[in-house]
Amino acid sequence: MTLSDISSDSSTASTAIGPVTGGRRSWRTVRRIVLYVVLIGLSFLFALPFLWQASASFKNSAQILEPGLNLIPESFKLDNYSRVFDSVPFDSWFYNSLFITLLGTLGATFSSAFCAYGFAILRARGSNICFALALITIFIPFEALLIPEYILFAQLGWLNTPLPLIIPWCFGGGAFNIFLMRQFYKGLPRELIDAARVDGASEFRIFWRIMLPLTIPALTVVAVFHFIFLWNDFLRPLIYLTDVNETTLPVGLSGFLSRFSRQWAILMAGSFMALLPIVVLFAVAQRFIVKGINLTGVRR
Amino acid sequence: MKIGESGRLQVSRRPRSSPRRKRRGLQTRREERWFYFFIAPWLIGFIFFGLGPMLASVGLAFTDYNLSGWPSFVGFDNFERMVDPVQGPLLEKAIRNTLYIALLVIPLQILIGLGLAVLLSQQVRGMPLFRTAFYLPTVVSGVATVVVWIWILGSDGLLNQGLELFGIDGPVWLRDPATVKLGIVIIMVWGGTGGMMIIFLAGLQSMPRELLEAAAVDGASAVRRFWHVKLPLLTPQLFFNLVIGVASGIGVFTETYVVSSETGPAGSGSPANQTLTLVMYIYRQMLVNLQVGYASAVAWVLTAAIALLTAIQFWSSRRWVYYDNDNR
Repeated sequence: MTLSDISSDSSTASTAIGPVTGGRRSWRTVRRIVLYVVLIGLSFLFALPFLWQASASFKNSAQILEPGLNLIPESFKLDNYSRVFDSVPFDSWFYNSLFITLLGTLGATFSSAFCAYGFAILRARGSNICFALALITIFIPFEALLIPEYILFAQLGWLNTPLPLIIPWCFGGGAFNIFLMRQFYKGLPRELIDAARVDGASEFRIFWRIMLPLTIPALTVVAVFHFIFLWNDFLRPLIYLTDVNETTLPVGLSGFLSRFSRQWAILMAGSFMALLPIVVLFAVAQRFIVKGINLTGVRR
Repeated sequence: MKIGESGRLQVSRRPRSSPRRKRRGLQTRREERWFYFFIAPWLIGFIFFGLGPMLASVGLAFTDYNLSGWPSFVGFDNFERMVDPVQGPLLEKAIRNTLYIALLVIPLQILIGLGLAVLLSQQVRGMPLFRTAFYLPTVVSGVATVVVWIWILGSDGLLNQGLELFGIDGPVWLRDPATVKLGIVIIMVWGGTGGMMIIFLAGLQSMPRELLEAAAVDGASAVRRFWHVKLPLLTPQLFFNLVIGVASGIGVFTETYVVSSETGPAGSGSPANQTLTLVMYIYRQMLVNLQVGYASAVAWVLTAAIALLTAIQFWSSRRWVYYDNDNR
């Protein structure tokens, strides 16, 4: 999308309500041009930190400190990137982040789908109380659990292992995700389940063979949001993974920042690499993210 | 609520005992067992990672504990320490900093998010591209983007280069105690606005067109249509953003932790305790000072405050949130 595309479309894109007279039409055109100028300006402002970060990661320190907005680097040298790998265990951080995020996402997605089947489809005494309890936990701030969970994981000997960041997600996957999946199940035709029951399928078989395949779009929404959440998670890995080789990218980067204070070239290369997986995921899955928000009206 | 209307389950409530009733009862019990089979992971997780730790945390708030040995009961000492002359002022500082940041960030995120959503909802060409530009900061917000902002808000950073064009000599935003919190507000507004925008945009796009067209035909101006038709219909999204915004604004940690490493040890609250927020205060009391009992007490006060704020929002929502009964 370039500027000329937009301006050539701007007069036709307006959808008029009611009769449009000549004077009104030109007023409308002016309004739409202003709208696009404002939108392009604002989106540039929002994107600027990324653009600058990307370009600075290819520059040397002197070039970075040059005044002015030189977004195109003179050359695409990878010196800064190799310096990141030489000076910190960036590959371990990356691997740890990926391992924790993938397993945590898998656990949360699958187990929230599993539990949501119970809450959405099956009837039992106590189901309302259980669901109410689950909903309340959405509103309990993480800070309330921080200290006792730390003690619990310390007693279990799980500090400096990825377990505290993976295992809890395998038990229900968070009330928010259960709620999301439950809403999707409720929207499916009930006859499907009744028919399967008449055919003698067990509830687990119905869940595994009918519900899971039908809710792949919903599972994708949950997985994408949870992946983003875990990849950016900071406080939990900060307190559970204090060993510099066992920690995740955000925690590693925060230490990296104090160590290479003001060495912008290397800092930008490291932080840009940390962002890349999530930006790629976002680009690929944007459709699902927007769809998920539109369907449920909520986000994580 | 299809389950409640299913005939099979209503039949099972018939009072007379008959072979048929026994069979239905069996069916109900079978379904009940399956229910607990499916929710078992959540139930176990709730007990071990939710309810249990929460009860333990309440208990810890009344003890003295340094992570080794056994906690010793000290009554209300920890709560008294929050207001004593030694600990009190620092905690008060943390509360003030948290409120300062939250009270600026939440309204700005909501207002700018709403503004962007209104702009994008006007049948804009290339909408996905703009939406991506505004939403991407929310997706990637975290340590890696704070690093970029430390440069942007630095002495020769982009912001000061921009201010120089207007002849203003900007401060080193994140090193100056007078401006560091404003700097954090800028980072958080940049990082959180897109998420709010996406929610508002979803609301604006699902709005019944007939209603807006009827208002236009009746001669309502664009401004009146916004205030009297669109905004009331957007109150559910506004409510959701407010609840999420308050909880995440008060829980601010990542930004202040990373920014404090510019002028002191990471997580120190530097410069001049200006970046010391409530969560950072709890983090420091627990892991740096090993005052676990006291940290638990503060965490509980924070939790109670967030719970109270959430309850107030839910209670007041009955007065100002409009739900369209057809959709919800």
